[in-house]
Amino acid sequence: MTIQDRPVVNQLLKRVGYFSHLQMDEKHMGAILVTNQIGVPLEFKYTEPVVATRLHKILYGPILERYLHETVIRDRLGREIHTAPDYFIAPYDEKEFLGSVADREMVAIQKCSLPPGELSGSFSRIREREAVVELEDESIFLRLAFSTPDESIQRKIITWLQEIARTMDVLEPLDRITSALASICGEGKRG
Amino acid sequence: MWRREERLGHWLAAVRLPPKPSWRSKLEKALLQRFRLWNHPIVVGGKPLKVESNICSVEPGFAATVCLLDDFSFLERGTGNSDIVVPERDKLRCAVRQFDPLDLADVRTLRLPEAPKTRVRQTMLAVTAQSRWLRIHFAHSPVRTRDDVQLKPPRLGSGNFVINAKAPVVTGTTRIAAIPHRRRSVDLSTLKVSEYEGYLEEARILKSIPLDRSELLGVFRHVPVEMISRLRYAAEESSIVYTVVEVSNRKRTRVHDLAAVRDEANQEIHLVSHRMRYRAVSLN
Repeated sequence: MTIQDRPVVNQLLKRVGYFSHLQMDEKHMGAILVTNQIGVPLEFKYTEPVVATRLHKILYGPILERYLHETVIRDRLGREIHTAPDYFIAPYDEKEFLGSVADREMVAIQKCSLPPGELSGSFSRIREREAVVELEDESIFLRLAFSTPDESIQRKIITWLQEIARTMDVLEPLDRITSALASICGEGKRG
Repeated sequence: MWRREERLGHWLAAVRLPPKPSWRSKLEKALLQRFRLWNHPIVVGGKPLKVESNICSVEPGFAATVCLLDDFSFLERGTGNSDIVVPERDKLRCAVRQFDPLDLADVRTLRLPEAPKTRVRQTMLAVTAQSRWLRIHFAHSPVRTRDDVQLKPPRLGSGNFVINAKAPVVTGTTRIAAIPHRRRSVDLSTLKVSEYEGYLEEARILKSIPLDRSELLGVFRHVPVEMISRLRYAAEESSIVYTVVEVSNRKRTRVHDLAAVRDEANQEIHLVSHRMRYRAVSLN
């Protein structure tokens, strides 16, 4: 890597949104974190634990998990966020429940390893809503799942991801959210 | 003589007396009065039946077997001999073999154990079963509407039994700001030789570690070294853990690549930020 010092004036202010869902025992929690370009929190909101009872599981059936992820937690948090990020990043496990949050698209990401030369160019679409992208400076690959099938928006998201990856670890805030939610959930259990 | 004439005259001039009852009707009347079957309740398998008319006349003390047609086929099941029992004083026992209709029963067979001592007057048997009914009693089940089974989005604060679509949202920015950032090292095998040597050179210049004593343990990208309040190197995970200071009044900062270098002389680990490998970031 060459020495780089890009002019500050050419950089647009970027806000990075994160969404994560945590299930601990029977408790479901979700959180949204908005950070600046270096991962410092600007806004963090989380839901109190939602418990699905046995009766809920029977009545809601297979839609229970989607209802919890999307309606009860994600949409609810999206309405409460005041600091609008450019896009939302979620763990790759969340790819089945992707959707727009507060009118912002989501992308689920996961580190992956590819043999050298496997990827032609900086990214490659592997499905309608999935792609693999190489982060420029870190020589690592990310597997992406998009909330939208629109290829132009997907390209914007990829460009945005590569940009913020130059100043922060794009995956690290997800660990912090998980730690925070686990801590909150643990407090409730002790209480 | 006078008496004979008088009797004769009387006989000749007498009004015709009603004929004496025949022996058959006498017997029938006597038997019916004796047994009074037409009013006696008869019990079939614990359910009362009523005999409306005379059925037969038998000598007292003899048991009789009567086959009735009714649809109570189940009466024969098991024992095959369900008795019709009249009051004990009448000494009549009837074994039921078969039933057809409910309202009329015919005597199909009548077996009397000692036929010579038995006189059968009539074989028709009119049996009117008392109306039988079975009261199937179900308790009235109360109908309840529970709030916790509705599928529409529940209302706020409707309790623990609903999946509340408006789950309470808590702001925890301060809480998560206190959680340290953890940054893992890049794979050192992916570094170019020049980059690898560059970090050791920085350690030599900044920390005075000779090149032949220094060992590169890890490289961490884009660390905001100007904003770090606490920094620790976790050797077991090859990662750094740090917290950042408040950034509200800061307009810009730099993120540097940071190296963890060990001095093999004293095994001390130094964290060295590369002076030339950084990016400027606007925070405004």
